Amino acid sequence: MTATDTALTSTDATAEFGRISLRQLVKQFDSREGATLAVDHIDLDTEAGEFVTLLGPSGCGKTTTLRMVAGFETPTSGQITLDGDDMTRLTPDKRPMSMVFQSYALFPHMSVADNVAYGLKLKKLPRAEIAEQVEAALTSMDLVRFVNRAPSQLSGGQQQRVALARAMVMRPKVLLFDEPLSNLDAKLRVQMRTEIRSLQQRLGITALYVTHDQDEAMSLSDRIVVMNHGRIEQIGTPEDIYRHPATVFVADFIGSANFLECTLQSASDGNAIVEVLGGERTIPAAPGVAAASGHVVLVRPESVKVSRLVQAPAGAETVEGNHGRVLRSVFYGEHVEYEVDTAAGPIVAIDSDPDPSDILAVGDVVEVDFPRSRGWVLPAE
Amino acid sequence: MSAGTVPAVIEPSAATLPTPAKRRRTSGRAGVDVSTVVVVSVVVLLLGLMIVYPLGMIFAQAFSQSGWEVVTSMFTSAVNRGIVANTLVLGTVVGALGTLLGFVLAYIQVMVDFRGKKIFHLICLLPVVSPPFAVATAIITLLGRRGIITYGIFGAQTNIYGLPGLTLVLVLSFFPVAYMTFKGMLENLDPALEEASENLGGSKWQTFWKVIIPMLVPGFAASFLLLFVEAIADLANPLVIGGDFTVLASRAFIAITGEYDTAAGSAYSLILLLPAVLVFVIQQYWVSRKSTISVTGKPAGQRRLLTNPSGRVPLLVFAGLVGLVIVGIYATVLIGAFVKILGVNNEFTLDNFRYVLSGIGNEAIIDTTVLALIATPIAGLLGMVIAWLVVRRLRHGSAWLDFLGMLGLAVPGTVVGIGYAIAFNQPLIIGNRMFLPALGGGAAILGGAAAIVMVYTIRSLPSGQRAGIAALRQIDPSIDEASASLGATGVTTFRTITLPLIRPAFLSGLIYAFARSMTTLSPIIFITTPETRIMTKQILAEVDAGRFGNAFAFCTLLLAIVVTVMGLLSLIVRGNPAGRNSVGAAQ
Repeated sequence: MTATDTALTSTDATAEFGRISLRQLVKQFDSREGATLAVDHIDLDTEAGEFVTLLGPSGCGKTTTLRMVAGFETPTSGQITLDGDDMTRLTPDKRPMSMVFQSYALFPHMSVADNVAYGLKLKKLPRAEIAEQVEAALTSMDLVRFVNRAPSQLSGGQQQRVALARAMVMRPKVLLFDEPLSNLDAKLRVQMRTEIRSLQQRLGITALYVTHDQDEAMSLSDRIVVMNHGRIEQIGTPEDIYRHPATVFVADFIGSANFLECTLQSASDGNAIVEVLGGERTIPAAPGVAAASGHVVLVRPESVKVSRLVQAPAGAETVEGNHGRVLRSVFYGEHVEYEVDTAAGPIVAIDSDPDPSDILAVGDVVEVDFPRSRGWVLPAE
Repeated sequence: MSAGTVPAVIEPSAATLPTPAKRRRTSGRAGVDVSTVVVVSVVVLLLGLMIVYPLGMIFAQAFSQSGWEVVTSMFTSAVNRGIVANTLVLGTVVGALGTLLGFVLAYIQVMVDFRGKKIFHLICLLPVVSPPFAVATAIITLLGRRGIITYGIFGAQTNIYGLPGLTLVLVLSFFPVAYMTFKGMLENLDPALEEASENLGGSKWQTFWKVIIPMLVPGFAASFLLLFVEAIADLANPLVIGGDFTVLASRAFIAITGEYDTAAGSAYSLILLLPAVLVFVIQQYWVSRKSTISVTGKPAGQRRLLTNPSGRVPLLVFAGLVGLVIVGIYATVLIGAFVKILGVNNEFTLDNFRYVLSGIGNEAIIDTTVLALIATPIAGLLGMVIAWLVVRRLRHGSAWLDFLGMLGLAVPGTVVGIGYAIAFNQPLIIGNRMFLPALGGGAAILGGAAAIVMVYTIRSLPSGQRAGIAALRQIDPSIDEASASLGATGVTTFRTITLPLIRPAFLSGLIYAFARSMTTLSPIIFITTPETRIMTKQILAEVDAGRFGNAFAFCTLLLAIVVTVMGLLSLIVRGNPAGRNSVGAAQ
């Protein structure tokens, strides 16, 4: 399937456990204003050792779902199982899962070593064994020099590594992450996510990860669960979600998207014949487009090709067919971004590393095109 | 209070938070496990025994036939109408003046540039630890008929007894509550707001009236109400300096101890209880949630202090005068303890201490200290457990548990005492079985000590509970969740995570509990026994007999014990190095 899958099988992952199943999971919050359905009948199954990310805008129910898996929220209805054992009514301390929190949640009155040893002490392991495992965990996270420091004496990144070590040392069947990187600066975030991914693969622990950051989701996950309004919009590999989104919402939420107005002629076999940009094209289509009433063609900005018309047809309408006029041209350094007015609506195009003489100016009349395989026909919302 | 009102009035503050934060906060309460259920049951049982049952007995007596006659006479009898009116007038006057004094002093402390802020702060807090009669007796000595100042210096024969003296004494005793409220609010007032106002063209004066005062309105309401309750609930001062000015508390006292009429005592208690609890509920659950300033304990930014002499000089002169009065009062107590009769015969003597430290006085000192030391850790721990249950563990009923715990503060001491006298002076017998032996009174087990420890506990508990709730709200709920996620049960989390983190709050809860126990009079006066003597009651006896020297000596010893134990407690609790990293320590 994907590159990440091969990477997973090539590790020494031994885990044969950590299969989470969510069945018709519902969480309803009651307040004076009425009931809100935070999580609305969701189903999800993870493989052992899989890295699954719940992605969505704030309020989509992803954190509530994670907290139900952890045991911090009690589901209104539905079932949570781990390797076939029912977890639904178990208190958090009885679940073989460890969580890494957005705020790190390090115990401020304990040293780094005591924080990491906390769970092991509760397991009543022998002293020597605790010391050994703590040492190993701190070594693997490159934290040995901070052993006796208080959490308040560490930087954000270091604190998050301690939190990670503390969760990891428990050898949980599942690692839960609640937006663990959102309090870090951009550079550290990239570094930490590489670290989390390689650690998770090395240990072969199933991970359930919540974020609203699509870069994080794309770079970490085996599969991404896109959520909106308490429901699952789509489950798929990062590539799937990006190239073949199931809904306009998913397409719009992941990356940037152009939705071109089109008319569907016919659809079959995963392809659709549509009229778009003044021509008839056969384009890959989402399942079930034939049944939908309206349609759009998704084209990512980097797939849009714009080229200057050397001879603008004199007197002709410039925004017609596959012709358009440049509304905006922004130079970003590594790429140039255009907004082009077309008959199918405004289209954003990205030209990577253009030749200086090819950079378009506002008002230029251009021809707009995209490779057939880069389009994706979707039911309009 | 109906079931719906408490959560309903809590809601506004939560509604101002962004949605994710709101959900996070409420969901910080993890699923209820067995250990939590056990703890809740024990706590509810204890509170039921210590406050609900005695209050229930008051209600039963007040609604008995002879009790109800007294209740109705509050409206029919001119004498009783006068007593109710006196009580309300006293509460209103003390509430207003105490709030004003507290505000002015807090404003000076926070906003005005002067040296010696720490000393001034301590002086303002002195009345908190003072024994109940210290201020009243000192004021009588200084300003009474033969007062050192009024008669000795000005030759005037003033009558300090009655409303004026009572007001003066109560304002001086209770203003620290207002002072602390306003100090906290002013320190947390973002200086940028003042700067913004000035930047937009507002003068200091305009900024004060249009920005600062409106933001403090909840503080004015809160401290007025608190002082109102304190003033109407007070018994010691009306007895000593009230003269003919009878209030409900002193009337109930006379009914019980003079007329042996528990039904009438209960009736007066009921009338006293209703406004006190009502005002308390309004203050706790409504006013305090209206605040636009969150008191986090961390000062907000650097403040430019008032240095302009036209404002600074009069304010500092005023502050100096108030400081002088407070210091003067305590100096009177101290000096009075070491001379024969202060103002009449100022010869140095240790007779007062000799009297106090022999016989009954000595017993009282030991009994009081021992019982307070027993009650202090119980109250501190119980307060923290309730705080933890309220903030973290309970989904439903947390408002009710909070209210139950706070009852010990909301219910006037006189009412608690009368309730205890009725409830615990006889064994509880239902059918033929004895459920509870007599805990208080002469015939009780342990010489009535059990009832006294319970009174100390229930009266001290709310301060620990409040401090604990405030401290817990500052701790990220995910710290608790992290502990649960690592395999800790609710009780383990409380012991290993919560308690160490709220250690400073726990300490202040303990200190306050001890000081309050040692200096409390109104509930104790009804349940002391010949076997168990309590210092505050002995002081009352000395004051009644006119032996002010002995009373001053008692007060001095009481102060010395309180200060010593407070010092020791803070050494013990702060001694643990882990405390340094805890949340509250940064405050």
